[in-house]
Amino acid sequence: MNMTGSLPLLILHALSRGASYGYAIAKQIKASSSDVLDFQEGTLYPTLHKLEKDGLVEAYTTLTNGRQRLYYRLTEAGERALEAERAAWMTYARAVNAVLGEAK
Amino acid sequence: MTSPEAAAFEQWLAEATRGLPQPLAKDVRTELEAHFEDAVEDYLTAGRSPAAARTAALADLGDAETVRHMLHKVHLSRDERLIAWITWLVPRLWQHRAVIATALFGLLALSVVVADHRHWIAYRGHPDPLTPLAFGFVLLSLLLERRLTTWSYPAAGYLLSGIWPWLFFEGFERLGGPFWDIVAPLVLPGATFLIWGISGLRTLRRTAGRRGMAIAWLLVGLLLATKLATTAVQLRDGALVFSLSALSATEIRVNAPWVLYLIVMSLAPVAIGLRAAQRDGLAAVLIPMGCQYAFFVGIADPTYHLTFYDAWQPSRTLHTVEALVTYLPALMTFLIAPLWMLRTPSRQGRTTASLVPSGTTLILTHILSAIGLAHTHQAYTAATWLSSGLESLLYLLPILLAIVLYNRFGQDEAILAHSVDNTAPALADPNRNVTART
Repeated sequence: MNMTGSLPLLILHALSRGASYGYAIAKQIKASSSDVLDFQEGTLYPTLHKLEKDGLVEAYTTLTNGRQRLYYRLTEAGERALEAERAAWMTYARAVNAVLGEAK
Repeated sequence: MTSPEAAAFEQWLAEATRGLPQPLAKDVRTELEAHFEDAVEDYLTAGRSPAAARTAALADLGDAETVRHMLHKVHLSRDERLIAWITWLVPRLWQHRAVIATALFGLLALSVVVADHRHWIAYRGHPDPLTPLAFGFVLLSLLLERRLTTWSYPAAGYLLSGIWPWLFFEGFERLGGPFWDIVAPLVLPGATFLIWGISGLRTLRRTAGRRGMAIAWLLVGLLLATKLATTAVQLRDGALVFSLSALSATEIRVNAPWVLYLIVMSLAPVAIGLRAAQRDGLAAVLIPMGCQYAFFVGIADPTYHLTFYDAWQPSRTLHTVEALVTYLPALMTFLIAPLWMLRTPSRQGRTTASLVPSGTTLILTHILSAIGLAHTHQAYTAATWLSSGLESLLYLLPILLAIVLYNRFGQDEAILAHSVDNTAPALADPNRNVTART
């Protein structure tokens, strides 16, 4: 399914459950949507970097299983942005559903 | 040894991080490598083979160019993106310089030809904008690569086509002065004969004792005789006359220089053909030949006739046909044939690319010319058609002969120190299609 524009929201939501790294975030998004939401995994990183630049997430390195990983976690600004984005998305989804329901 | 999948991932990484500042590129690479390794592990756990796991993990990453584009947007300013784009573009332009330079010259030639065809195309002795342009391309080739590169061949062909009227006709005379009086009839034809002689001798020495070569030179002789005979064919009172015997001593003396010049110009590419083919393939010979012949016979001659009658009896039809007769062969000669030859991967393809546009050019211009002249009292007669047809065929013969020679000797190990790789596009990279025999 085309996810243009919604990837930042999905990433913020994935990180709201706790700090994570790129591959795990990608897996989580795909698994949560039963593989309906698919995307080019490489694009996850520029999106994460953009969120970091905007101050919505912060990155830190940690050693996991002997491998150094770059983890990301939500900042307070990120939490606020997630709430705002989630509310906007719900409003949008309700509006689209209403139109589609009306069409039936 | 690196597996193909690992190499593909390396390539993907290089593409995705290209143009990023070094420290950032390193960080991004580390992050993407970790992602890739995690994905491969998961696919291996799921029962895939190592190769299949790497292939699938790479496919999941998606398009490297999209990733690069997004990374640039996040990390680079507009100016930095522009610099990254230029540093990416320049080496690629250089890599494809053969095609780009050929197309560029072709387009410039077309625009010049179309813009100003009425005033100079039939009289190449006039200073025209394309001559300095062609000189520029040849000079650039010599300066940049210290040799006449394949991408300069259309320009070289154009210059060749412009030499003869410059030498023997009014265009030259307009230059005036004792210097040009000597240079035109002596130095330039002398130099041409010298080049032909040296290259011919070299070719003969390299092919000494070979029966095929002897047959080839017999063909050359046949061509020469045909050329002499048909050059002497003239139309008198609507009939074809083989007028060599009818010419006076003065007429023979007057016509001799340029007839000889035409003969040399027909044979020179054949003589140098084998040597040029060693380096750049058959296209090296055929592109300038095609340009020279198609321009000379395909554009200059028919346009001359049309312009002559148009000046005498101005007509919209004649003018339109003039434009077509100028534009279409120029398109074929300067753009379609060279680019076709540059891009075609097979020997057969190159042969077709050399013959079809040239042949089409020659036939097309005569047909168009006939259509145009049908609107004047100078309509084509059967004899004119025959004469034009012979002339066209004649100009295709050297091209055909060069192909025969190349196919017979071009791949001969005893003759050539290098072979031409016929699986690669002929001229995409002048150095790439030549592989040393070991």
